[in-house]
Amino acid sequence: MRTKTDMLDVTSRKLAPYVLLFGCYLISYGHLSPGGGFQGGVVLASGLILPALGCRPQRREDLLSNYALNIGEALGFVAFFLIGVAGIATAGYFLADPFSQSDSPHAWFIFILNLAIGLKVGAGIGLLSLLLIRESLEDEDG
Amino acid sequence: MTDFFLEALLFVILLTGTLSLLFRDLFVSVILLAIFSFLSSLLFYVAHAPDVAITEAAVGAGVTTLIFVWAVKASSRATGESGSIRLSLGQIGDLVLVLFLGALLYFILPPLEGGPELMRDFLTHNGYRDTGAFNLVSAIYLGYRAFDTFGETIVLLCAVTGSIYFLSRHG
Amino acid sequence: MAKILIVGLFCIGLWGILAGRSLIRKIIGLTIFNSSLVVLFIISGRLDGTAAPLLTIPGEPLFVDPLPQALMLTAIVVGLSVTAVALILAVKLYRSCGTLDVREIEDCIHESEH
Repeated sequence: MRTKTDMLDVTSRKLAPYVLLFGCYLISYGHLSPGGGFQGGVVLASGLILPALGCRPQRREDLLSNYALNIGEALGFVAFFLIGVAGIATAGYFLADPFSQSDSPHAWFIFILNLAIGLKVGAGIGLLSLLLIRESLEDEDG
Repeated sequence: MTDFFLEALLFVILLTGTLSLLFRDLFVSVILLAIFSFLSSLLFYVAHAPDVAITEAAVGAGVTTLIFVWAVKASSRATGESGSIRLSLGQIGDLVLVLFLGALLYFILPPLEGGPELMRDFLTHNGYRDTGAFNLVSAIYLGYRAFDTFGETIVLLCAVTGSIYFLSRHG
Repeated sequence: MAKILIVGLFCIGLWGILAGRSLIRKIIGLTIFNSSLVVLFIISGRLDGTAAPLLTIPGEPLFVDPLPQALMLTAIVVGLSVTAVALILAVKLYRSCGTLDVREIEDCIHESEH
């Protein structure tokens, strides 16, 4: 008995880019409207999970491999740490604002932190969920 | 009007939480937990907390439900519960302890209205000037207290690493 | 009135942790317990405000307190971490002991020690 129909397959594949786009919107506009790194990161992970849940077993294509998501998570964390160290180099304490030269307030620091956190959270939670989904799908097939 | 809506929503959340613990079938309990998360997210939105609403909806009703459904499926929906609800001595002791702690919490908590307005006034005047963000919640956890966010990132990294380690060894 | 309901939610979560026979039922109780505290902080954080704490809202509305909201963001993410690790450990216990009932798992651990 086929449990995953064609409509589920096509819908989940076609909707996934819009979910990813919404996740990127939440990350980039975090300093202006409700959103930010964590919210956008979890929505990015949802956009990675949706095709994995909906596609039929014969057409399973992995969007991102486990290794790529692993590297993405580590890169996000290292980027956060390096921004903090750059704060020590320019203004004296960890996670100081390294861009505060001009007088008018600007949000570069928060924007870049949002990007690093979004990458890290999206890759981390996406990796965890994709491992669970792939493990349970393997048990179904084999 | 908003207060009444908030209290009605809180009552429905309480009902959903109770039902989620009473059903025998674990799949039904997990779906009721997802409904609980959605209603909590609506509560946070009505209480003027949109950041927390988005986070609770994405995390609670999204990722947590996924992991719960995987766990219930991987344990073959084993419930491990016996037939009827028997009132043994252990269960009466549980109930008494829970009611005692609930009463203690009720009398210790300060009233929910009328808190200090110091942070709100300080952030409204100085938030944009110090950090450059219009979203005051982002100004707190990425501007003034970015080190706490660093710690939270470490916690998430440890959780994902630990989960991958525990998943990778079969048997 | 809201305080009674929130304390009731706290009690239900705590009862789920204490009286649940299956490990997954205990973790469901833990999630409800976590959510009750988040609800407590958010509801007690609306002082007399009428708008979310965004400076882009036109006019000059009175904001709610943004500090509990920032704290609860961290609390929700940490709760997710704990729930994920707890569920994966529960499934590992099921795979090695064959049951999710707490007392039978205790017997299984005692047997495997001897």
